[in-house]
Amino acid sequence: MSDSDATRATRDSDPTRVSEDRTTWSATALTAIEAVVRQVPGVTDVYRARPTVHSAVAAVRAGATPTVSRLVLDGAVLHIVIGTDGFAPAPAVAHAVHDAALDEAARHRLALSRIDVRVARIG
Amino acid sequence: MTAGPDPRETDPSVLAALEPEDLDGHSIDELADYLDAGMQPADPSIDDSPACQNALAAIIRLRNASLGSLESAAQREAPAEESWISGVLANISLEARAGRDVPLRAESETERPVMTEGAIRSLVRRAGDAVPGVVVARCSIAGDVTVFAAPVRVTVEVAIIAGPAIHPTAELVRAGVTTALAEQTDLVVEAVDVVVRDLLVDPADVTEAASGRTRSADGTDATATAATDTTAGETDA
Repeated sequence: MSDSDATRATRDSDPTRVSEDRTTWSATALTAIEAVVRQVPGVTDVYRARPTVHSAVAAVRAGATPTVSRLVLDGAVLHIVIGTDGFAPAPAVAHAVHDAALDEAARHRLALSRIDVRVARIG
Repeated sequence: MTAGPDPRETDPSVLAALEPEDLDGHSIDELADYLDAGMQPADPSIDDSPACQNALAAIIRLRNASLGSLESAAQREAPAEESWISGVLANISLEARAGRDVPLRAESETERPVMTEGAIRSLVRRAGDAVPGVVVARCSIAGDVTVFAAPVRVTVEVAIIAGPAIHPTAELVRAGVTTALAEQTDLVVEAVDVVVRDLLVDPADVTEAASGRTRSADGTDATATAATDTTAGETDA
């Protein structure tokens, strides 16, 4: 067994380690998605989404520190709160944010069943 | 004609029901103080709150709309239990809170786009404030906004400070609000009602009008200190 196999075997046998890895992996994906969302034309702000009970409990169980991302991942549902510039039509911006987030999530192999985009401020 | 409630008479029960989290833990007074301090030192709990940002933007527009003139004219109104500005600020506080989620058109199964009611009310207020000589006192949306494509009726109560004729000005407000809602939301707007609730005349003009009455630009007599109630035409959108 190679070192990497041994490492993987140890890691796979430790549920805490797996959980931490998954949390880190999710946090990395969320940070990347947030960066992509900020680049969507018409988006001026990404506000902190309110954590759901499910996401908060999951974070506590994983022993994770609060993520630096403003996005909230609740199971397979991603919550994004944005402000728009008031020039680009907000519904179109929200749609573009969904598409960009979905593509970036796929790039990180993050399977999402739904993306909730909330427009909280216009202009 | 649609007569809305007087913006100076903000329902105390509604204000009492305003939870601290509606403005993410801040009061309208705290936001005004934050503005007075030049927004320094930076407070992330305000800067990162869309509700607070909506309220701050409205306060800034209100202040820019010749605050002294408004206060001076409003002080002549009787009874003056509460200043006109305070009433408008109270309404801004109520309107800026996020409120209900208003659904937008989804184009796929993975998409659930919504817009907060607070964002829409702030949009309406901004469109009205953009008309020269107009300050939006209150705006409201009637209808079940939580149901996609359900018809809604928007009411904008305004004060016209001075200058142009009342009816064309009210029509500009109605057109501006209608356009903003059409461009920025998926609401099915049944009508936009504009209620000219106050006619606030420049103090200099009041001084000249020894009789205590002034003449608006469209030739209509209007009492300088009395609230007027004019509803602009309604429209189907």
